[in-house]
Amino acid sequence: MEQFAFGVIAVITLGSAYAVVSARTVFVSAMWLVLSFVGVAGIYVLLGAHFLAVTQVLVYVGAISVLLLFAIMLTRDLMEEESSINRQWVLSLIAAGSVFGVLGILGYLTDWSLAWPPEAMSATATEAGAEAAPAIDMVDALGRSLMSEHLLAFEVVSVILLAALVGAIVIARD
Amino acid sequence: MTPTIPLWWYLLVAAGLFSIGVYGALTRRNAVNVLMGIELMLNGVNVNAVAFWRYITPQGSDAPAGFGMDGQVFAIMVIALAAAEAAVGLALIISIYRTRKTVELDDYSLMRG
Repeated sequence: MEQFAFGVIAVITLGSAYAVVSARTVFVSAMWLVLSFVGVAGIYVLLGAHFLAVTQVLVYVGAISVLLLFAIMLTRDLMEEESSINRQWVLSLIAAGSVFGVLGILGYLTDWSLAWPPEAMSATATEAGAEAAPAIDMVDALGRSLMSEHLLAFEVVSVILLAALVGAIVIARD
Repeated sequence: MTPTIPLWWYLLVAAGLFSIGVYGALTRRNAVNVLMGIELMLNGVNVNAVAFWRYITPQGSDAPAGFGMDGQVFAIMVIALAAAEAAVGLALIISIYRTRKTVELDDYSLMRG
């Protein structure tokens, strides 16, 4: 059952991702991109990272897609215009295919012996899943982790966000 | 929850997302489309980070609630940086469009020398 759900979500995600790079107009690409983001959120749910799934929907589906649509609509009437691909598509196909091949073969062949033994993993999963409101626990742990061991990265990212905010306004004005 | 799905399924999906993003970023002429390809690549990386978090997180004794959260923290950082990158990138595209009236990357040859 879970494998079936994974298959459906994977097909939706990858299919709409392919539609993003093969759609005729930029606007249609953006629509497919939204569906692909939703599929990735589904993968997060399957992995048990519920907070990340919500964040994915908020940030990617809610914010970045709208930003993309704004850019598309501000720059000419791209809705009707065909968006072409350049001359190096054969090379790009070879590059992307070899990246996929290497990553896929490595991911399949590597013995992830660091992995929890299955019985330990399922025990942990049930232990964490059987507790009341495991998602809340996880958000709690995530917040503590962000504010303790990853505090420096957290602060740096906030400064970067501020710089990007100011920079985007300054660049796009006048 | 997850043990019925082997780890490499997730890795395969992530690799697929990343390669499709590579293909899109390399082939499309439209600058907005290239940004979309980059977003797809970032999403593939995120799926990898979360999958590794789920399957091979070292369970440190000091980790709260029995979970190390490093993978999810990575993913959150990537999402934040992707938002910043999209905002600045689209602002740049709009700014260049004002002066050059095009979003085709092949026409952005001002600095060719």
